[in-house]
Amino acid sequence: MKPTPDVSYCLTPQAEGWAVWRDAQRLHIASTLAEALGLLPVASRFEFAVPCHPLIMERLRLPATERDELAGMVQLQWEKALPYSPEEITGDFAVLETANGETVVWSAAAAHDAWREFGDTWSGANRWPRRVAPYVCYVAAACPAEETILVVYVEQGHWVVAVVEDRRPGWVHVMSAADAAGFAAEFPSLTLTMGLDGVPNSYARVLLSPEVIGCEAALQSAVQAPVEMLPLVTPVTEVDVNLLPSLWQVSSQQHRDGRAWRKRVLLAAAVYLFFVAAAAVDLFVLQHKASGLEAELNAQRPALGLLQSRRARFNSLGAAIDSHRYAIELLYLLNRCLPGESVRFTEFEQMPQQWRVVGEAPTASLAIEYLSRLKRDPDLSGNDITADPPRLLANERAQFQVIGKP
Amino acid sequence: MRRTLSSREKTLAMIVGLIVFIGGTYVLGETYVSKRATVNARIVAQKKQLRSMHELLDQGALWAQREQWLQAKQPHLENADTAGVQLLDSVRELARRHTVLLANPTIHPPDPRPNCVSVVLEIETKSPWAPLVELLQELQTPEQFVALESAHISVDPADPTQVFGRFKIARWYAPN
Repeated sequence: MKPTPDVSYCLTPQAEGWAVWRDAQRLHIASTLAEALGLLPVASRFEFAVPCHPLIMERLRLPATERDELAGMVQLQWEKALPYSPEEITGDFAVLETANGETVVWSAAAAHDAWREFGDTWSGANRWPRRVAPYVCYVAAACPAEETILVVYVEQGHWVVAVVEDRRPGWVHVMSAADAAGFAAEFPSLTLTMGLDGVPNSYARVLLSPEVIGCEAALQSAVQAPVEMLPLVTPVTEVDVNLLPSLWQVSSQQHRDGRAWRKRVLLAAAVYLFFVAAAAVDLFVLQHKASGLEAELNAQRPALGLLQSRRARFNSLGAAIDSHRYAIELLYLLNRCLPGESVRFTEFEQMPQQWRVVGEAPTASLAIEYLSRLKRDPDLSGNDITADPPRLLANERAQFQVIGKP
Repeated sequence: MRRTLSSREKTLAMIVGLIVFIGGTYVLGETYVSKRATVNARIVAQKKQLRSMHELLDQGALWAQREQWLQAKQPHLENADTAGVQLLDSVRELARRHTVLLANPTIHPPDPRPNCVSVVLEIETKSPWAPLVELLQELQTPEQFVALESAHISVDPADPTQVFGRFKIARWYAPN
């Protein structure tokens, strides 16, 4: 299943187990967070509604000032309340009201240790939420606007009492009681605590989730407000509080970076393999071409062998049947090159491997000219012609000797 | 059991992997280039060989014709004992016609060779240049299958108008 970019997924705690949401549609209920995470579409981004039990939630009355300064003051409160260094705490707050120089805020925070049970699940699946908000914020958002309402509901087996002011949690408490009798015993002391924290004590109505319907009687005796059923809580409303721990952001970013790198490496590997395959195909094509040529050569070899044997036989008989190789023809060519009648042969010899001619010329220059004429003669170009320098005889004539190798 | 690598181990593994990758790529590339060059050279040589082969084969008709001519015209040795005498007689007749003196004729027994059976006659001559040239011209014509296996001509030092000749004349008969 591919994620649709405009669709928002969310995991929310239920009375028992976890719900998987796509926008306002509840898709699945899973018994564990890991199972719920597995039911999300692959690579879809999601939000996580954290249950209240790992959170430290406070209602604070601070001097009215800018939000940044308020954040600093809230941070100081957390450091006082929690035995952790500021870096180990993740929290956020929502401004409830500003009046008479005071600002009332509701803050929620948790130490990194408290996030571990969820962080392990995200790490196991290599997926992290893009936003984390307390589930009670979604519950508050489901309440009617501009009213102060007391809400009792269950998340992950824990009973939660929340005072909602104009659709925002103003005070939240996770009860130790887990049934109606326990609630009836614990609720009176809780109202005292609420009073000490400055929480409004008159409610427009009381909203109960179906799981806590047994405590209706106890509530009716303690609170003068109509008791109604809590409407369906859907995680579609944008809430002000974001508790996304920096560790998860870093892990998520690292995972995204890792995936991006893996994609790049895979792409590079694909390109590399493509070139390797192209080289292999190229070699194969060349080999194929070479084999084809070899086959063609082999096919022609018998005809060539026959032709060569015929040629060899004919050439071996050349001295008898090729007039160009006759002694008379050679004598003619040698005679043709003589530069004048004064130059004449005195000896001629012809053997299969070479021929030799000895002669006399009136001057050495005529003998040399004869040699150069022989070398220039096109009909004698097939012969390797060499000669020693002419030798002067007693009668002052120049004797020359020319050797030719066919 | 799997253990997560430390950053130093990861760096080391990356360096080793990179070296292996670069080395492998180099070996692959080198192999490819050399193999390609070898095959290309082979193809070029084969093409050249094929071209010259085709050029030779284009002359196939000529060599077939020559072979046919050889088979039709080359004489067959019918009597090995008289072949040498016949050759001597024909040379004598030529010499007589061209007024060339013959001396010291020697007839060799027939010599079987791969492409022929050679009947060799050695002779010496004495004559002026012109008759000797005419004799040689008439002695060797293609259809007679007569070859001069060696020829030595020298001018008589005492009489420059006369030349001495020493020839090894062979008639090449068809092989049996």
